[in-house]
This record gives sequence, structure tokens and C-alpha cells, in this order.
Amino acid sequence: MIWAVVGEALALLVLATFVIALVHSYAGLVAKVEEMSDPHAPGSQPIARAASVTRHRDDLAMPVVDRVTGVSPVGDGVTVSLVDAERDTLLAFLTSTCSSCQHLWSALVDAEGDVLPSRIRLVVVPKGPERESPSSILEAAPVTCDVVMSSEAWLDFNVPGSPYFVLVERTTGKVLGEGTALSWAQVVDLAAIATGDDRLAQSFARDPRKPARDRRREEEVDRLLLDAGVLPGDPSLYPADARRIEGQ
Amino acid sequence: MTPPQARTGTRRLESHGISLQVPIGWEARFTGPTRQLDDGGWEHPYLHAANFALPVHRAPFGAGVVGEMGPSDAFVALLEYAPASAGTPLFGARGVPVRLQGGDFSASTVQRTLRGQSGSQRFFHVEGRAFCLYVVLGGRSAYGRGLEDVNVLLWSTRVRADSVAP
Repeated sequence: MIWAVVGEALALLVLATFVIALVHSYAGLVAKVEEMSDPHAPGSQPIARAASVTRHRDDLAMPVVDRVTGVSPVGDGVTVSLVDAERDTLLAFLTSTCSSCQHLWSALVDAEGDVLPSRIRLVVVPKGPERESPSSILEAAPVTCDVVMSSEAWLDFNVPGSPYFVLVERTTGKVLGEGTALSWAQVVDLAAIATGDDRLAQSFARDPRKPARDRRREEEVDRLLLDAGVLPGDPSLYPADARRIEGQ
Repeated sequence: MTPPQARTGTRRLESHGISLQVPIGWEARFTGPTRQLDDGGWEHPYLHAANFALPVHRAPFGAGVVGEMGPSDAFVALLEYAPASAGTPLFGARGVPVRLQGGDFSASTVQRTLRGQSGSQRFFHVEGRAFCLYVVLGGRSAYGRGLEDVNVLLWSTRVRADSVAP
């Protein structure tokens, strides 16, 4: 009889321990979910922000890489310089197969390669032809885009996976920042953080859904109007009927 | 002959049977034969190298490139011709020119006269292959480091006898 009581007591003890552990785990999960839904909580930044400032070449005492050498998707040899340049270079390490890269490729095609502010040069770096399909890259990349297929560059920059982005300073080749991002807007955000230039992102606050040709047409119309002396807010931009409707 | 002072990286760029060391701060791009000619042959590859960022779209002699050059910029085009040309007097010089000097450049040698620019053009053959070397300097500032780097690049250039047509 006594053994039955002791056994029941032990079983109750084990059960109670299990319930306490379960409650504790649940409380941890709730706290994590609350932290993620609070935009001001630490650790809740977009993936690009979180990654962009975590690794710097200086911290890792990595040697400066002054160039990317590889081949174009049609097999021609290419060397792109990362130093003594007019602009900072953003290396976009993409593959034709990673699911997260698909959106980046299609956005790149929609924008005809024009996805970054003009002060940053974009060079897309898939792995070399021994690790990546050149025809897939040829199909995925817009013809206006600089593409250098180079597995060596992936090693040089210790690229952990794709998509991955490295922003290189134009004169010294120093890495300003690196990380991952799921959209070009996040990449620009990453570059703004890396350079400490908030205006970078603002200056490129474009509607990503708008095709490049529409943007170019708008810019052309704006330029023609400015050349003709028609400034923003000029009364001639607002026909009389429109003003009457606005006044109602 | 002593080589020009090297300011190159360690890796050679190689394509279409031509290899070279690209000076630091320079970039280089080969463009392979992509078009079949009327006689059934293929157009030949060319190399562009410059101490500035090369645009994606470039014509063989640098149209689309040289118009944007600054006074310290240097541009090199190495264009291959049909092997049969290697035996002609125009391509009679042997070997890649390696010692270009300021006096080799002239404003009248550029394809289109642009303010401050000067050019130099050489025809030669190597390993049975015929080439035209066309170099453009953007201005007086390019006669120093820019021209030194051009000579480093040319000095390091090696050509194999491979057939390049597909």
C-alpha cells in the first residue's frame, strides 16, 4: 500500500515538473512574439538591418579585395575593379536557384538594372560556370546589368549564402557593410546604414512596382517642363476646370 | 628589357587564348565572337581595358566609352582580325607593343576628335594571329600613371596560337 502512495506521489511530482516546464516555455514564446510585433524592440529590425552592421571586414581583419575576376554569362573573361573607382560598388551575390533570389532577379529585370541610387554601382556576382548555370544567369539577368560569374569572389568575401550583398568603398576597397536582404529597397536601406547616409534611401524612394520605362517617361516630361520654365506648382499645370473642382 | 613597374594583382585574366595581368584600379572585359559574318566565318574577339568603369554596352573601338573619359582616363582596345591578315604587310610587326610613349599619341589618331584626347594605333601579329591595338588617353593627366599602367598591361599580355572562332 505504502509503495502505491509513494509511486503516485512520484508520478505527480514528474507531472508537475512537466507542466511547469511547459508553462515556462509558453511564456517565453509569448514574450518573443510580443517583442517581434513591437517595432521599437531590439532585435526586431528587418533582416537587412540586422545583418548589415554585424560584420565588417575590419573586424575580421580580412585583406582588401581590389577586384572581382571571372567570366560573363557568355564565357568572356572579365575583371571589375573595386578600388580607385568613381563610385562605391555593391556586389550582389545571387544564384539562379535560391528561392529568395527570384524576386530580386525579376525586380532587376523590371527596373532594367536600375535598382540603386546612381552613386552606387551594381555588380551581380553569381558563382562561376563550374557551380552555376550560365544559361540560367543569362536568362535571369537584364542585359543592362554588370554580371561577373566568379566562385573566387564568393570565397574572397566569405559569402555565407545567397542572396548576400557587400558594399565596397570606392577608393580603398574597404567593405562598408554587408548582409542579406530580400528586396532592393532593403538593399538600399542597408547601403544607407553602412554609409551613414540616410539621404541615400530617401533619394531613391521609388515605387518599386512602377516599371523603369514609366519612370523614365515621367523624368523626361519633368525635364521638358523644367526646360520650358514650367516649375512645380505652375498654374498652367492646373486647368481652370480642375481649379474650380478643387475650390468646391 | 626590364618590365614596367608592376602595379598588378596576382590573378591573370584569360579568355580566347589571350591572358594578361590587369593593373590595380583597372578593369578589363573580353567580348567573344557573337556574330557570324557574311562569308560564313565568325567575327573575332576583342579586349577592352580601362582605368575607369567600363559600361556594359561598348563598340569594338570604344564608341560608348571614350566620350565619357576624363583627362586622367586611359582606354585600351585589343581587336583581333582574321588569321589570314597576320601575313599581310599591315600586320607585319611581330609581338605585342610594350613600350608606348607620349610621342606615340596624337589627337588625329582617335576615331572621333574629342577635346584633349589623343590616341595611338598599332597593327601586329602574334602566334599567327593578327591584332590591332588602339589606346586612347583622355588628357594630359593620363600621360603619367595612365600610360605607365597601359604599358604594364601590354607587357603582361600573352597570346596563344589557339583558334578562337567557334
